[in-house]
Amino acid sequence: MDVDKIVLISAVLIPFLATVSIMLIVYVGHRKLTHTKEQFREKEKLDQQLIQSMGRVIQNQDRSLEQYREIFNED
Amino acid sequence: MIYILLSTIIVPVLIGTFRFSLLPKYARMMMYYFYLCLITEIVSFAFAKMYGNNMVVHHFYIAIAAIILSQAYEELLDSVFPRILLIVPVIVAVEVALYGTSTFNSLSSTIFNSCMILTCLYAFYRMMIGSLSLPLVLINGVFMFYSLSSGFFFFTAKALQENDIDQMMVLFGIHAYINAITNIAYGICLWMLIKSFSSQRS
Repeated sequence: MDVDKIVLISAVLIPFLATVSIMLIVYVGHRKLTHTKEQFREKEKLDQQLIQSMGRVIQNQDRSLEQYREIFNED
Repeated sequence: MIYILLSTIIVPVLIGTFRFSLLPKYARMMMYYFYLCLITEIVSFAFAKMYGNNMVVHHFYIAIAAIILSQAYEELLDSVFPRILLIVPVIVAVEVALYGTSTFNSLSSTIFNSCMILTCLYAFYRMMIGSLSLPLVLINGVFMFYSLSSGFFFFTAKALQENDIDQMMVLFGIHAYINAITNIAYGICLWMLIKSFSSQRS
C-alpha cells in the first residue's frame, strides 16, 4: 500500500470520522438527557398542581363544615 | 507549505483581535494560543531560512501550548482535569535534555495529543450532561480532530523516519494541509462564538 493512502486514511479519515461520530453521540445524548429532564420537570409541575388543587378541596370542605356548624349553633 | 499555514492562522487571529473585548475568558486564553501559533509559524519560517533547523521552535510551541490550553480548558470546564496537560512541559524538558533540539519532538507531541484527546473527551462529556452550545462543541471538535490527526501523523512519522525522507515530506504536506483547514475552522468557530455573545448582549 502506498504511503499517501496510509496517511490519508490514518491521519485524515479516521480522526474526522471519530470526531464527527463523537459529536453526534454528544448531540443525541444531550438531547435525550435534556428531554428526560424536561419530562421530569413537567411531571413535578403536574404533581404540585395536583397537591394545590387537593389542598383547595380540603380547604373548601373545612369551610363548608364550619358553615354547617355555624348554622347548627345558631339553631 | 509554510505560506499556507501563515495565511490561514491569520484568520482566527484577526477575527479574535478585533472582537477581543467581547470574548469570554476561556476564548481569550484560546486567542493567546492562536497568537502562539502565529509566532511559531513566523519564527519557524525565519529559522528555516536562516539556519535550516527550526525544531527548537516546535519544542517551545508544544510546552507553551500545553500550559495555555490547560488554563483555557480549566476556565471553560471549571474543573482541575485539564491540568494533566501540565505534564507536557516536563516531558519537553526531559526530551530536550536527552535528545537535544535537533530531532523531532515525537514523544512530547504524542503525550500532548493524548492529553488533549482526553481533555476534549471530558469536555464533550461535560457538555453532554450540562448545557450545549454549538460554537463550543465545534471548537472542541476541531481541537479533537487536530489532536487525533496529529497523533496519527507523529505515529506514522516515527515508523517511517528510518526508511525514507521523501515519504516524510508527503506526511509533512498532508499535516500542513490539515493544520490549514483546522486554522480556518478555528476562525469560523470564533466568529460563531462572537456572534452568539453579541446577540445575547443586544
